[in-house]
Amino acid sequence: MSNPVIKFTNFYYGYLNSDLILQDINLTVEQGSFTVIAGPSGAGKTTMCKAMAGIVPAYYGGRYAGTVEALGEDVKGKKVSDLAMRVGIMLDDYESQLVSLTAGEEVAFSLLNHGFAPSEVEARTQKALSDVGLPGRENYQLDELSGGQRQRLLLASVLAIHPEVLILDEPVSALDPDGAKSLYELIHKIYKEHNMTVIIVEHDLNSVLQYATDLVILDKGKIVAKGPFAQAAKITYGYPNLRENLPELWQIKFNLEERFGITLGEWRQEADAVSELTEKFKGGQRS
Amino acid sequence: MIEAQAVNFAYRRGEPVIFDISCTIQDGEFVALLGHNGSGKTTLSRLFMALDHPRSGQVLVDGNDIAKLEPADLSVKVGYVFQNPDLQILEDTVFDEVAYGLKCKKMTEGIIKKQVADALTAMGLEDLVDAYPRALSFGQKRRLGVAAALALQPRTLILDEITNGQDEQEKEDMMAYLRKLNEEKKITIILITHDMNIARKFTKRVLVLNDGNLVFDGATHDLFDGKNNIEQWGLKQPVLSKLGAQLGLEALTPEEFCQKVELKAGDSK
Amino acid sequence: MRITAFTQLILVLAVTAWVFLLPVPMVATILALELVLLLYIKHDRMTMAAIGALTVFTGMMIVLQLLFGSSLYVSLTGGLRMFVMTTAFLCLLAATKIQDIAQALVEKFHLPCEYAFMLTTALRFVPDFLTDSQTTLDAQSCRGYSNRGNVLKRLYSYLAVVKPWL
Repeated sequence: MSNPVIKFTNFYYGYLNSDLILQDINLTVEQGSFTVIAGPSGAGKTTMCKAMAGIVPAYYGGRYAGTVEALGEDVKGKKVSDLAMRVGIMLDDYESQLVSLTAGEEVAFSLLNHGFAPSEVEARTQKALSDVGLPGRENYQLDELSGGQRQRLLLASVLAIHPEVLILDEPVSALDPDGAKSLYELIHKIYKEHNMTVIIVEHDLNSVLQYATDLVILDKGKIVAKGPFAQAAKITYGYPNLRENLPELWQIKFNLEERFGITLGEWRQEADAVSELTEKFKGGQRS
Repeated sequence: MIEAQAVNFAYRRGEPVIFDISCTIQDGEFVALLGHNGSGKTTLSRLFMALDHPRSGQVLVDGNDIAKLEPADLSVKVGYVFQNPDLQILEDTVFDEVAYGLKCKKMTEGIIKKQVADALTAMGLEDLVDAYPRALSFGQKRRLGVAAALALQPRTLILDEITNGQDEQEKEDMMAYLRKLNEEKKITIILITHDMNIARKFTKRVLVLNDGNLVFDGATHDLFDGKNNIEQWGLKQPVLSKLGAQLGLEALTPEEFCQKVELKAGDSK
Repeated sequence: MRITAFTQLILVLAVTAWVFLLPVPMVATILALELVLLLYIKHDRMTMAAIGALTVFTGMMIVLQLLFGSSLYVSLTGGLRMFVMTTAFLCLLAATKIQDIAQALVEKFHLPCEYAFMLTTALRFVPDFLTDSQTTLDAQSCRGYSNRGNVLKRLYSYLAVVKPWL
């Protein structure tokens, strides 16, 4: 049964004094999905995130056509703060989203704004900070935290609310591969525990390959491919200049499938690829 | 040539962050400085540029101890490009931006014109000479940062996370420019990065830092051959080297990998 | 010794009044006490930078007053008063969490919430600004700008950096 959480219908958008950033966007994100949005720089991914949360066009003006619905309601004309209760968003410019002076205050700010009782706030703050790998740092001033720690802090304050929909725009850009891995594990864990819908913009699909249910590829403001991960990836592979947006495992998968006329599994981890390849090409022989 | 001899460093009133590091980077090398966040790779590179000075030990540039020098003194020998291009934009046109350092050094107009032109051409920005730097795309701004350092014609370039936040195409473009600088102009490149793929594809030597210690100094090829447990240092084994190690193939791109699989399958028919 | 934010705000207002009511030697004593208190509470880069900036600003103000024809005594005492008032404000910031100040302002002084929020948000960016401007100074230095030499030259280069950044 279809339960769309986000729905774009014939959506076009251009900022003031600029060309159209998004053209003819038609997309449905189902409840419970883990959707990854990828594509070259400047494709419009960040603008799409802002549109989903109602920030565009509300704060930016510009030219707008079509509709965006979030949780069943048209976002046009709604106050961003109404939507914010149920949609958590983390933009790629995480610095500008941090408003408090200490880590604890930042998470608390988010929780208090969402109506949590002060008595609950302390416990939730502690847990949130601990989950993202910043245990006991409630009293740390922002300038005592590195870029990566600040990004985790913002994630903590967004995750602490357990929103119905989570929109993350490049949430691990300031982290090293190890940090990125543990954060995606955390996001996935909370996603499963609370039956959320997650939408992530990410350049490096290798890091989310294990978790993605759906994929959207955006290029120059248009959707090139969308749908369940394997399907959308296959369509993307048909565009040679967009192949590098796919995870390396899948670039290899499709390449081998083409060369040998076979079908390989839906690899989610290197181990899957290794075992299937070893089996099929055992000792160099094709089986 | 840049040399570190038993270098130790701590920030003022802080914990030590670099422990007894010694290494030598020869002219013409293309080296990656790898490590987890906080491992000390940026800190070490700052010591190379005299942005900070070691608590103990020495840093030598072309055989001279730089303890008494400041970055401005080194700028004609070593160029340093920071990660955030917006913080490095000082002027209102691309030309002035690239000419900034030459004007500081009080060069003549003729020399300024020539060296700026060379730097812009080397980084593919010659058509943007009159552009307003802040209106450039992120990738162009990053290249502008490199051009501005290149204008002073240093023999070594240190680049801090220069491909961070860019898509694959932009990363490849930037690395192609750097490779050209290294191969054609013999400029030594020291690349601080945590992108293992970039390091693997473009560099010949890697230095790995872990919690302030130098834990690996050797050929890139050896680091990624799958025999070292690089995860213990907070690094991620690139997909291709993991697959390659398990299947006995070496490849730097997915296309190359698949070609080799096909060859291997064909060989044993 | 815990003093509420409200009490501290009242103290700052009191100091502002005293500055105009009390004779100069007493005002100077207040200044000395304030500086001791401030450095006792918070002894970091940001505080030193703030004190430095205030000194420069006060100096500029004194010079301006002189240029406009005030006597030396008037200019100096004017500068002193301003310095004392602003340092009191600095002490307040150093001793109290911004959120507590904002809360006191809203609850006891009936400041609209939006203004209190603007205050805390603006202040949160100050350390970032200091760090980022340091990076710009480093970049200048790496390109060949040498700011060895006197304080005035250093100040000028700092302002030159700040201009494009703002």
